[in-house]
Amino acid sequence: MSFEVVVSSRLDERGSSSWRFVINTGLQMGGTGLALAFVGILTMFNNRPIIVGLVTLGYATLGALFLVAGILVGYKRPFPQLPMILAGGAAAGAIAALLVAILPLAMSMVNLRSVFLSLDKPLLDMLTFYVQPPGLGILCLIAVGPLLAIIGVLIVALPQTIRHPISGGIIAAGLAGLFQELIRPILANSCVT
Amino acid sequence: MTAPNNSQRQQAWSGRLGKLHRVTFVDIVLWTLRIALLLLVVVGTIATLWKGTYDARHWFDFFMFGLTIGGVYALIALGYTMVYGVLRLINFAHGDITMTGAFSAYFLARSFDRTGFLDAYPVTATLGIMALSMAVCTASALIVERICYRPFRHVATLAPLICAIGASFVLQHAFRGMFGSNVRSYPDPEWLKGHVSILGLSLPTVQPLVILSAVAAMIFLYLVVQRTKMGLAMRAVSEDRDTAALMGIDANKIIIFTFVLGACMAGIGGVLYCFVYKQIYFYMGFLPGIKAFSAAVLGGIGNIPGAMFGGFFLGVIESIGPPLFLDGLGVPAPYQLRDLVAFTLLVMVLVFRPQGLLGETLVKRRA
Repeated sequence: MSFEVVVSSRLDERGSSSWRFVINTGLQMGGTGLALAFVGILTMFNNRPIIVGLVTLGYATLGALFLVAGILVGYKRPFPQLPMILAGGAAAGAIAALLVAILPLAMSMVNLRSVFLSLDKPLLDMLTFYVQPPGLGILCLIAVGPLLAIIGVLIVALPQTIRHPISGGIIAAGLAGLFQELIRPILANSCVT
Repeated sequence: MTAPNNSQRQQAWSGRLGKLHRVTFVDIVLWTLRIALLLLVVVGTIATLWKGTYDARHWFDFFMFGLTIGGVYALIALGYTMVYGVLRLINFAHGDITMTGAFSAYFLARSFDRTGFLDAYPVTATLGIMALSMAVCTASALIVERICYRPFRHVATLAPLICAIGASFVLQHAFRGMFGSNVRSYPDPEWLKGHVSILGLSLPTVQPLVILSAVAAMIFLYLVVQRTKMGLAMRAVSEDRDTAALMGIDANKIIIFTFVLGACMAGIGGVLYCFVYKQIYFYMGFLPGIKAFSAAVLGGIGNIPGAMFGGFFLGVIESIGPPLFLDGLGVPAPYQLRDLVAFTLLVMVLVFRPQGLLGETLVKRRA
């Protein structure tokens, strides 16, 4: 695919500070998480297990957002030292998690379902990790964000020999979970099993 | 004075021949189409008037309804035409941006209606509803511009157009996910149900209200575009973005300003559309959006007065056309074919006058 770039076009890139990048990344990932929750995708994905009894597609999607926040900060390397990059990743993950956490906080105080059909009890339960009271679950959510983002930064920072098997394993587990209905009968009818 | 000799006659004859162009098969088809359409319109009109099903009162009602819905189309069409003017892009998500404003207006109107505020303070409530609708439309338009159009701003392919269509579907289905797929009825306060008498003619209150609101918004927009520095900059960017940038105009800011202006008009249009049809659903932006696009093309896309004229013209044709052209031909329930009339008009304009009635050519002028 070729894009003809107009010769006289000007580049719109602006110099952005390192922390601005971190904040923008966190806001973008958090905003995406909110959008997925508002349109009902998170609730729908939560009904589909990837690893039965452990991880659902909803949690995997939410976690992937925090992980991607860390990966983006790790790839961009906005700071010279690794500890600072880790701090930046954690900040991006925390911002994303805080933004998403606003939703269960509001849902536990006000009934938003009269306007937004997808903001129902199952979504609140999911976002608070089925923990009672919901405030504790919200704290868990806020803690999980930076943690996964730090893992994201570490994945980028690791040497390729370690990174490739880890990322390959995560992707394979995700795909196997997604296509479990296809894989299960094949395995059941296989001579190996 | 001497008579022309043979060689002069031959030269004159070959000059005349040179001016003639070969009649092609396409020419014949187009002329046949023109004649068939003209015959359909003329015969249908004469037959309908001869039949006498409708009297002057009916035609006046059709005309006023056409002006009413035409005002809404004109407001939405302004967004299409302004964005095309500065970006040379058809913003196909504009109809759905209108829908986002209408949805927000519905929720505020419903709460105003439940508390009685809508009946007690109609002007304040309506202005509040319009302000919210404009704000939501502006937010939606800016998000769409930032995510879908800005990355393609310096790209001269069909990618932005495809992205615009994609943005339209994303908006529709995001709203379907958020608010459900059921049709909701817009509140119908008492003051909107009555009739008013203008020059001895009785009209539903909603019609003059919508027409006057649309005209007021259009006058405001015209003054902004013609009398303010931002409007001047907008026109300069529309003429030549690179030269405008060399003159010190921040094209990025002007493009955002254009989206904001278009979205504000769409916000007002969305509320007025709800006043007329009193229905809200996630797909409601598609048809008025396409009709408004037709109106913009009809008036000449890129031309602001053209979009205003095109909107009213399309509304009136859509309202008067079906009974006038089709009833006399024995078509049952002709009013159900009003979309057919509207889109036939769009096709005819695109075939016979692609530059629109008042506008510039619908071709890419610059790479």
